[in-house]
Amino acid sequence: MIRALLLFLLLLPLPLQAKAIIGDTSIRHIDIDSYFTGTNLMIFGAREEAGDVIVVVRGPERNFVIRRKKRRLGVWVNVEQHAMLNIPEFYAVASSRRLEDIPAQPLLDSLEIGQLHLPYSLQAQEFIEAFRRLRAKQMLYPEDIEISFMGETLFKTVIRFPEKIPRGTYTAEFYLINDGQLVGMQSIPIQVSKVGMDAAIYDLAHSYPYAYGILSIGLALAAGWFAAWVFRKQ
Amino acid sequence: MHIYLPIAELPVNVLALLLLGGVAGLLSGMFGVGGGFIMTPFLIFMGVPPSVAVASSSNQIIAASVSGFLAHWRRQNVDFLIGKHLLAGGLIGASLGVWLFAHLKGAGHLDLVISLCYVFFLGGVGVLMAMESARTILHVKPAAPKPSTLKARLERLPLQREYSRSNIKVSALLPLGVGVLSGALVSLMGIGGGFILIPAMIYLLGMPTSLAIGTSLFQIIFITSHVTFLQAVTTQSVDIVLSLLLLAGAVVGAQIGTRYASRLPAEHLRAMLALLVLAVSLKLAAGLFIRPADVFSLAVAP
Repeated sequence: MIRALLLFLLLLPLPLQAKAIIGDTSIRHIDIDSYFTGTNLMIFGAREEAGDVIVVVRGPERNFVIRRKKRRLGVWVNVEQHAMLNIPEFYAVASSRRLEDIPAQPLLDSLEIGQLHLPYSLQAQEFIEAFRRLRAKQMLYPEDIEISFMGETLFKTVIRFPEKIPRGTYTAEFYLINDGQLVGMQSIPIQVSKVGMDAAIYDLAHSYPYAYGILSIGLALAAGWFAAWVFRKQ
Repeated sequence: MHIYLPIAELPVNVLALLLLGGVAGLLSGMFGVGGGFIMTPFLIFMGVPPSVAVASSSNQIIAASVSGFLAHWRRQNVDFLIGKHLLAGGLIGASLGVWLFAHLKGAGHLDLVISLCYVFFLGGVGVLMAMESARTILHVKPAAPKPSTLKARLERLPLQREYSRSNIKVSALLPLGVGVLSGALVSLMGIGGGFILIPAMIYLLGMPTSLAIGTSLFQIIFITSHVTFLQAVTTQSVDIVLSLLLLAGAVVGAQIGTRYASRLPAEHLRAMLALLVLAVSLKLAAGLFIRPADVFSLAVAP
């Protein structure tokens, strides 16, 4: 692995080597098929200056609705709901030390690094906590992932993409922070797409709902007629 | 062996789905009920999102009712005129139901309303059936029916007309109204609606039982097709892989059911069905009253 990293660094064009932090991921495309059970994304890089390294992998943004149930007339009913706008579906943070120990909290706020620094478009604190808990349960919001160093410059970390990973364009972001200042950063896109029969069916259902509806009915009618025909012959 | 359901977006055991379809088919072969009432709840118990369970189950029922309808049609057991009037009401009810479905999904009350419909309608039918079969098995004579004021009121409704195939004279508003109610339930519960339609046709309209079953199947084909189409277009929750697997199981189950139905005493069969119906309703009712594992839930906004 270290050899591969060194090779990679040697192959880089000279101007890039001058950057304070550079990094890459083991794969840029993740294909989800029927047998996908999750995958590990290897992330590695080098820092040219001293400082804390933070790697953020951000998924595509979506709008969510979070709801809370309460007992009404003995029955558990959703009584309160809040919209959460433009929230990443997947959000992983790896750091050279725990985020709260890095003395650059205003910077983390402005760069939206860490679950505590994400803008949730929501005031109710208990709903934000519930959101983080629900995401964490599905392994979609891992935080405080360890970054390991080989010497002073080379680092690597592994980020787990779980089975139920949403598709879309992700970014892997590399930050070098020293003395409360951003020293260097780099960003790499990662594409997560669904492939195969499942993806084709999903796309058909969402892009051509009329055709999909007619197809579903047609198949069911044909199957019913076929069954009647087969069993009548017996 | 697992298969990934593309719309429900989760892996499920193929054998479990075939078995579920098979049990539903067995019930339809033995009792003439569609089996949708068992399919939707069990899909939900398996973790399929309720919206996908309801929509895919209605798609599957199309196939089941087509093959049943063809068998009844060959025996001339279909009253097409009443069927058309039921259908007209059904289309209205189903459209309202799908609209309500999408609205409830957005408001976060869909799961609750599906469970409530099951507990209320299925539980009610289960209690009635259990009482009746207990009476039959224990040889208790039913209480003499009271002279019905309902019947007199129904005879005063406007639009009275002859339905010559069934040899009855009722107001056209009756099949229309029954159609509206059953159509709405089809779209909310993922059932064919036979368990509402058939008793209503026999007791309310006074149709002969043999015609009631064939005619209800005729109506159910169109209503479930209509619901499938509307669900595909408005909520994109029809899972074609799921419905095909259920269907494969149901076809085989129905044939086995038909063969064994004649070998078991009818009252015991009906008591078994009543217990099954009650068990499913109780399980769903418990889900309404027991504190959920997490009172918070997260959904992707449309």
